[in-house]
Amino acid sequence: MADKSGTGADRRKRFEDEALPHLDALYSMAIRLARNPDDANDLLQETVLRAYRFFHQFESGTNCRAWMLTILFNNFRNGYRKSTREQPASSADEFERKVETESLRLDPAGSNPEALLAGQGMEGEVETALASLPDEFRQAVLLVDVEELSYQEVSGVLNVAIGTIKSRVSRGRAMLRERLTGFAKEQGIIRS
Amino acid sequence: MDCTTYIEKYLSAHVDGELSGEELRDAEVHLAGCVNCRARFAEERAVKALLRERAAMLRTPPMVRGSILAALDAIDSADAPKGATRGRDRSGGADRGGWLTMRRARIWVPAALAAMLVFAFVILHGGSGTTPAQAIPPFDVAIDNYKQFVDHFEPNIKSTAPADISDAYMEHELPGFVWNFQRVGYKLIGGRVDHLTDGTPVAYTFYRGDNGTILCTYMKSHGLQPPPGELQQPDQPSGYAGVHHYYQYKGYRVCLSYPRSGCICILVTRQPMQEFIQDIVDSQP
Repeated sequence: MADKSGTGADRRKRFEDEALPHLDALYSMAIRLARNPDDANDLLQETVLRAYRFFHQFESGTNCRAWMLTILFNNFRNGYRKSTREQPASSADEFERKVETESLRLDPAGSNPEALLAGQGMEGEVETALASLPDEFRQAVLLVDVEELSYQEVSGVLNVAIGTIKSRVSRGRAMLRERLTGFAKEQGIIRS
Repeated sequence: MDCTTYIEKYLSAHVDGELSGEELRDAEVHLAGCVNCRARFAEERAVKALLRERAAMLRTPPMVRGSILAALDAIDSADAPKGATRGRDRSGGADRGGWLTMRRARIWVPAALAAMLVFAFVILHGGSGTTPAQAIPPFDVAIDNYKQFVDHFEPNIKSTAPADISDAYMEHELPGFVWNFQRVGYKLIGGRVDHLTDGTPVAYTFYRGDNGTILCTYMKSHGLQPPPGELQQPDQPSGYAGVHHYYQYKGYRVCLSYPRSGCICILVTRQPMQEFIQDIVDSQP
């Protein structure tokens, strides 16, 4: 059990170089999983601290984002969705409202407008369509299309067989296509 | 290949660059001759691009980032006087390990013997893929323990919170994933970390429901390949880390998977239902 992390200062530097650049990706996933900013913050913090403690187990040269997402999903599922503060948003609209409220609260100057999930136009449509998918399809699609993981990496993150990932991506994208087709055509992304 | 097969089975994986060999050739042959599926392919790619471009990547709020960095500082300064993390890990590990080994020696002789067999087995057969189906020592270890745990399971991880159990497993370089079988009616009883005779750690998570029990065993795999005799599971290409292999073994349902590199997961249950474990796997979010 070699301590590959070296000295404390060494470990911190490696962690900041390799792991922390994925913080926004983790935060985005956390907020979509928890559907509630307070729980998302807890989930993110727990994930990063755990990744730091176990950073000596990370194999250099493998995908650090996938490794951290695995810890994030483990934490999320291991938490058995206790959701101590409040119930998760019950609908896509409510989810967007919550995120918007939270973003405004944390960023009152509006210096970070792109962070608002409930943006205008297409961003809002994409977010609404995503939020309306059943969890298992949404997670698979987000990990493949937004986080850009391979099926094998997603299989590791979700601890689900790769054949299942394949069919979840396929079905999830089919649902999204159906929900987004009108807008995609308007925007000229899909030809009518 | 017809269009339905292409769209349902190949399209997404094709767009994602996840097809290879014969599958990729078949898909390309079909596309070359089918204008409708070519249009579908372009649309699927557009949906994928749309998500990538437009699904919001949120910025971590400065407050949250700040509190995370402060927590990292706290870990650094707590570790510093003891010489990084090693001092802390070692004292915790020795404590737990010593206690376990003693208990194991007295109570768990059959499991210890079986554990020796595991290593004889993996040394002899590991990686060959031609193992005889009648003797699969890692399964025997899991089943042996399952039988004892049904009567009496004594967790040695103090907390029953899944996150604490997960931490304890990760400290032993075992998978940090704790299965959630609540949806199919099984309550988490607790977790236990022991050591096999060669000192490698093994973790047991035990679940109880009205109709039966489930044991999840994590151990180092030492190159153990899925033994033959697997029950037919449609739609699962082999050779990937996340594949689940199902067996009917000595009257038990056994599911073998590889949750992280170098480790195996063996789920054991007595439930006779044909698709029991598959149901559980599918019920994972």
